[in-house]
Amino acid sequence: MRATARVDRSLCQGAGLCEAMGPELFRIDEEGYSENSQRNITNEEKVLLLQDIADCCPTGAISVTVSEQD
Amino acid sequence: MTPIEHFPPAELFTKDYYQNPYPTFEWLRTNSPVHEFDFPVGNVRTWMVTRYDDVRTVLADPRFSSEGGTWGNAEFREAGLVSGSGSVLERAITVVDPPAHTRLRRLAMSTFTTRRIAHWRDTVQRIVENTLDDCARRGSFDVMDDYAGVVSSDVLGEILGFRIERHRELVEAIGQAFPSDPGLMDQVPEGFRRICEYAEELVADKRREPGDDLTSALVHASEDGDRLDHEELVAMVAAMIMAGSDTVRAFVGNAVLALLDHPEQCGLMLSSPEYTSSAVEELLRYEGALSTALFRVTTEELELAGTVLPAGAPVIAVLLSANRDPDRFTAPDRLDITRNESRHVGFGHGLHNCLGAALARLEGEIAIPALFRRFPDLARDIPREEVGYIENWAMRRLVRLPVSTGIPVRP
Repeated sequence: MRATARVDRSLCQGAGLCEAMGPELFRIDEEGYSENSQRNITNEEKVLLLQDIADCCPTGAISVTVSEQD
Repeated sequence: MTPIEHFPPAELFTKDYYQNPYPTFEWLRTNSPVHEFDFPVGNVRTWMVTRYDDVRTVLADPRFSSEGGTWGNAEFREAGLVSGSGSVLERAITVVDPPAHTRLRRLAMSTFTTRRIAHWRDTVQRIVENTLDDCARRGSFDVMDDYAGVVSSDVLGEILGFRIERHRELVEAIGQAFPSDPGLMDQVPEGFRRICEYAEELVADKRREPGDDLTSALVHASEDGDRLDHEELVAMVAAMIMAGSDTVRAFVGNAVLALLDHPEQCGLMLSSPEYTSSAVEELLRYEGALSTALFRVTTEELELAGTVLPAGAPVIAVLLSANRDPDRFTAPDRLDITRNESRHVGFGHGLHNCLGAALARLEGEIAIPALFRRFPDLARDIPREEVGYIENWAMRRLVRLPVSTGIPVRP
């Protein structure tokens, strides 16, 4: 399983929730907005965390795609 | 005893502070950015954080917990400062850490769908127009009670699906739950009890007769078969009532005052609608509804900006001060709706950033310009120095803002 997360910068309002939930996955840049993007996450726990973060984002700016192929 | 040479311009939580806290914030950012003081309720040793970067750290670093009941020291807990203590609100989304928080937030966010938000746009527009009609009939009115208050409570009522006649009672109960006066602490549990009782009624109503509202959506919200249990549901609805009642009213009031004070900025907002959204962000930065975030408590001894905080220490992050930090914003005391700088913290930051931000932005973007568009000659009815703020440490709200439309009222 591989997951990729994308941050839509036009939707991001810099709430900082993604970085607070997963500092190893997301970083807030100098202006206060979420930086792109995480590719090819294979660790299952991290894939679940990515999905959690995307679901909790207050502006729906994060999308996660998961492919079953290795 | 070492003599203290410097004091903030106004002592914290005094009359002068409430009317104009900004000189005090400036002094604190420069001289005591992590400021130890005795919180007036129970004289609990508390630290106030005023710089932008430090405020962001407090709100994002998991060592600053929202679970006062779990991590707060004995002094803090015994003073009754744990929010919602003894009620279902003790486990509300606002005061829990992950993993409990993640689960609640996912379920709550699943009800804020694009379709629902689009539907709210029509609701807000209709309510704003009706309220403006009523203000036009009056000629002179109070922005707080007759405009911002009506719009925010009508919108919240429709969205949560409740009957408006309860709103005044709810505002009073919220006042009871979050007092400034230490003498009124004994009423806090009663305030929370009343709010929960109303949320309980509302949930029961919507179970019987579901509608196209947020409460009904929360009743049915589920993810992978996981749902909110009854207590969680009541706590969630109660949290939304508390978070959505007075905040939008306060913000719209502050925004209207700021625009009356800066007619050139108001003119620019009206003549260039492309600035509407940046105007709302700037107004949220300039003077949002909340002075501070809810209490955080340290889970361990740690150092913040050179100050050592013991484990269990209560910390107050001052949002108003962070948003006026000159290290982050150029000329921070100037209102500039074209500003395109750092993200403000008017909605907080991190895990507990405002869940209803999209709705609050929507209400601001509609209600604020609409008032000035309908009444281009809107003017204050009282001298500027008589415009005052409520004396509450967490909420930044005007007591009243009487205005006239300048348009003759037909008999």
